[in-house]
Amino acid sequence: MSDDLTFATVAELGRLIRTGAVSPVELAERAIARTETIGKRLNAVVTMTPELALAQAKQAEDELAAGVDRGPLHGIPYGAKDLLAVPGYPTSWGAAPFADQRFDSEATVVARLHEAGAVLVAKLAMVEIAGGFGYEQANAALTGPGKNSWSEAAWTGGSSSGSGAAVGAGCVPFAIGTETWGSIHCPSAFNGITGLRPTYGRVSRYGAMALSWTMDKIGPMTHTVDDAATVYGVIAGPDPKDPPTMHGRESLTADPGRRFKFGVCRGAFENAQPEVIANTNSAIEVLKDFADVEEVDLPDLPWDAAATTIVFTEAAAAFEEFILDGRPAGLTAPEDRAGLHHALTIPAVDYLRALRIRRAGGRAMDEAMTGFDAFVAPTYPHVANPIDRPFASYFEREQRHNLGGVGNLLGLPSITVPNGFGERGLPTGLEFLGRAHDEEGILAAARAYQLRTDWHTKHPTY
Amino acid sequence: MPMDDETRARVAAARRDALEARLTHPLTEEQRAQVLTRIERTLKLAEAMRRLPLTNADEPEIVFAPYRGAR
Repeated sequence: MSDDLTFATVAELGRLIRTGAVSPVELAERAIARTETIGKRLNAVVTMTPELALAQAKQAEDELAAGVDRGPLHGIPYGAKDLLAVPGYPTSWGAAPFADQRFDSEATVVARLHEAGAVLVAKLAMVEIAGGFGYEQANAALTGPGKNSWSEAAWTGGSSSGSGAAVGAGCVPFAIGTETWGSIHCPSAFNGITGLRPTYGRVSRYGAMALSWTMDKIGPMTHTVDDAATVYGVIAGPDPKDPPTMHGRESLTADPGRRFKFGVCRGAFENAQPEVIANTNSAIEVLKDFADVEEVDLPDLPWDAAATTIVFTEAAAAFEEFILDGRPAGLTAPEDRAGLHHALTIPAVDYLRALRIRRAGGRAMDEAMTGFDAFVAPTYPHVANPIDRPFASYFEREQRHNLGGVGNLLGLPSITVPNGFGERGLPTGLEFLGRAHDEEGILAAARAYQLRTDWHTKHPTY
Repeated sequence: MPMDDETRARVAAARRDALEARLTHPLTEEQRAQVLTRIERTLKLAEAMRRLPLTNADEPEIVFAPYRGAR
């Protein structure tokens, strides 16, 4: 069922469109067919949008024929995590109680992709309410457990479950995911694809479900770093409808000629699976070809405790009425049905304590990262867990040390790229965590790694 | 100062009682136990955060800008 176009990158498809080798309509039809079959088989789809896709593809085709070129995403199919509002279609937030929810307004990210000529093929599956209710196993979405593109016996990761599987399985060349804590990086690493989590406030959250107002980020999930940079360039930027986007600094410009410097966080993978450790060490040897590499320790602050407190409190506030009205009873995962009630009891002083740690920690971490282009660590210390087992039975939360807590608490940008395979033949990932607003730096670093490796060209067979 | 286990259990139970007073739909016994466990976890998170000494000068990361419209 797969051919040369199935796993083609955005860049490759753009060239093929402009040489006339393939048309936007043909690409849309292929993406629709594959998402309808393989995508649904992986439980990666909530709602197909074929009418919209074919109309957008036809418009792209006509425009390009008339000499109107909207840029690198013109005519390119994609999928959007189903917490992004698209008029005319349900936006379910992955949760049965919201299955028929509709919004009249369009999420800014979707609008910008539309303006750029991209073609929306499907609203993609996600863990219910982006995982905010504390799911503990894979069957936590109205679409069922998300299956990994490399093995249906493995979980695809979350909460951007469908986005990870759809790109991993070649249904679409890119998808939009979101991350409060882990939700771009987890499915990206587990599916062997590239995922970019921008600096908080770089990409407008207007029209996206809010789980945690100060920790929600939106970003691209792609086959390559170059594609991630392309999509990010389209969706990022100030939006008056999302005030945090109006106060950001200009993104730093990476110097392409100089040697990089990376800090390796050994503490982030001391409890990792052996293959994850081996793949990370191999990746570090590749990094030494173009970078100075030094072992570093993170400043000793209660990162995870502060991040967890913020997520719990903000999520409980965002869903307070939903909880008090008893509507979580309709959620799929049994542990989600009373999963966030506890957070309604967190006192304000604890939330504010977490914000005070965020401020102090932001300065300490930036000081620690000064002089480095990125801190590097395994994206996750383990591969995707078996789909039929509770998470804790496969890998204890307490052993799950990575850069997710500090990175998300502080709103730092990060990119994950595939760096090999591990247990059960499943992908592993390598993370580059940057200083705030240094998307260009981490993209350049990850690009340099991908130029020297071919993990991003490995794809499952169907 | 960290709580001992007994104090933490009493605080958690009190918080759960306060929560249940607000709910329009009662929790099952299994859910009550789950909520209690998760409240205890938030108490431990609060203790973990307080291991980092902060002073009066350590402000939260909040930017409050009083709003004024264009006119």
